[in-house]
Amino acid sequence: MTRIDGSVLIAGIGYSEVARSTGRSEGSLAIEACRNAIEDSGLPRTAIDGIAVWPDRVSSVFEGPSITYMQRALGLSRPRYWQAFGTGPAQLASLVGAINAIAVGAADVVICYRAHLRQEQRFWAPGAGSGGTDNAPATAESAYRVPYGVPAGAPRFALWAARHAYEYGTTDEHRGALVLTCREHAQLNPRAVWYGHPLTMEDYLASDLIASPLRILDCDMPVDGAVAIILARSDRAPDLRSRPVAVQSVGHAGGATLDNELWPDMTVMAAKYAADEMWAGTSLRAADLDVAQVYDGFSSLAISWLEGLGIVGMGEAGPWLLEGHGRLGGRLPICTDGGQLGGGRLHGFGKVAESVRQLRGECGQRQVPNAQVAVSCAGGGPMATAMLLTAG
Amino acid sequence: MPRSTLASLSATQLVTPGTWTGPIPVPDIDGAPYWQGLREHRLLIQRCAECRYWIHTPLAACPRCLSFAVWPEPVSGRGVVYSFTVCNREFAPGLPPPYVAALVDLVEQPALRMVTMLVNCRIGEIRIGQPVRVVYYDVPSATLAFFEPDGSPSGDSQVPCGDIQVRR
Repeated sequence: MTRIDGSVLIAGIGYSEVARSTGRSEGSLAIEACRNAIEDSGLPRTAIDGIAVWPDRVSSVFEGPSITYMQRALGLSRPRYWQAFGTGPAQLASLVGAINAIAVGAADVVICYRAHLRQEQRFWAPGAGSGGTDNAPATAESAYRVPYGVPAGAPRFALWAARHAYEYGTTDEHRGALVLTCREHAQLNPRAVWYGHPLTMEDYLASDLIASPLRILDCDMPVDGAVAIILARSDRAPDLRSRPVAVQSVGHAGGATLDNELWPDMTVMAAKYAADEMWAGTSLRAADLDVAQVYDGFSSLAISWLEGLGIVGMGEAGPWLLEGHGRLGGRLPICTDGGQLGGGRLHGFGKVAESVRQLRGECGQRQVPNAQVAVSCAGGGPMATAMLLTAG
Repeated sequence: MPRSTLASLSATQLVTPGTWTGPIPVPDIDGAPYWQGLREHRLLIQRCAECRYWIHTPLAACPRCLSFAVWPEPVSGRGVVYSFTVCNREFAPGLPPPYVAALVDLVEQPALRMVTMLVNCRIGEIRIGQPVRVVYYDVPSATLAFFEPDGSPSGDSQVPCGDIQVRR
């Protein structure tokens, strides 16, 4: 495998406004995030010779401005590298593609973005406006699952969570401890959508069981928002405004199938295979981590990431969380920005941006003291990407 | 003792999807024999004539040996609940809650899995590992394969199942 070993840097990060409903277009949010990332990097716009995105507007149920729109909006003339990923293991596919492109010399500086609009969720839901009609046709692989009530989202991951609970005794309190950890950290992040709204275990347990064993509070909070990340070859370090963060290793692996429901052993997600790949590319180990931005699109996914990364053994994540080890001040703080459960669904890009801010020491009240090694993760089920970052 | 997830559901809550307004499967070429089988109330699963591997969902060739000699064969219709979720939201259009979505592994081969709904059962009594058997449910222009507890009285049934009309 090609080892990254710090040959690629995260040169800049940028957030847009993040809120439940902004009334803005996805393009507007994405441009704001990119503009902030460019300013954060200190690089001139003309230095950017690549752009990558997952997913492209035309090829996915997820939203976001197309690469065509963004290349024009950012005035990136003559990009050497551009790539929109239709699928690929999860939300960080664009970053993985950009890192590999830079590592082999196909580009020097690549901008990646992820924009999300809450009200444009295209999962089937009452009134969602995307096929929300009686007797809607279910084609191709959807024919085998959508008529049975498993289109995506909560029912899909509930099936994984139920099996994990069956085999390892994972309880509502275990998932609740993950949700509470995120919500507690969100109280230290003014950008977090749940900032100012603390949560108790009683509140969590009283929340609606929408797809057992998952409750509504096990699902991340949809928001309007965008994050942009600029990657650069390591020799650009002297040109950067902010302290660079080095990409040490990336894992971007699948498993026995890329299909959510046909995956044979649902207690082990692709998180483990991505993590194994990531650890194979570095001499660092799980014990070296100072902070872990595990993916929490659903609470159960974060549990699988903790186990897949080897931070805890199989079945041990729940008790570990209940004992408070993932809290700030605990053994290994997780989701320090509040995660997606507490902060809002920035769809993996928030995981990378928060690691960068922790490694730069920019996190104020929620700063992990002297954070040097961080992991950022995205994905659930058969989709997984893990990225190991160090302070430059 | 941690609270059981299912304890918070009423044990008497019944599976009542009602008259079918939910999504309708549209067969493609690979899946046509499977869906035609269901229309005839037969569970036909694709099988490799060369290496005898069972394949679901259907593919154009066998994933184990890449043979194109893959044909539908009848199976017993019996399986085991691998996982299930009680859904209390309308996650798919026209599919009012509550319903029980499940993964059933057919007995013919490990992890020979179908996505399905569990019917003719009380929600609080469903268990992972429970033996189940297929029941057919006709919807406009297609038939769905649901599963019910194996060993329970069949479709027409002492166990209430809401408005679902199941025939065996």
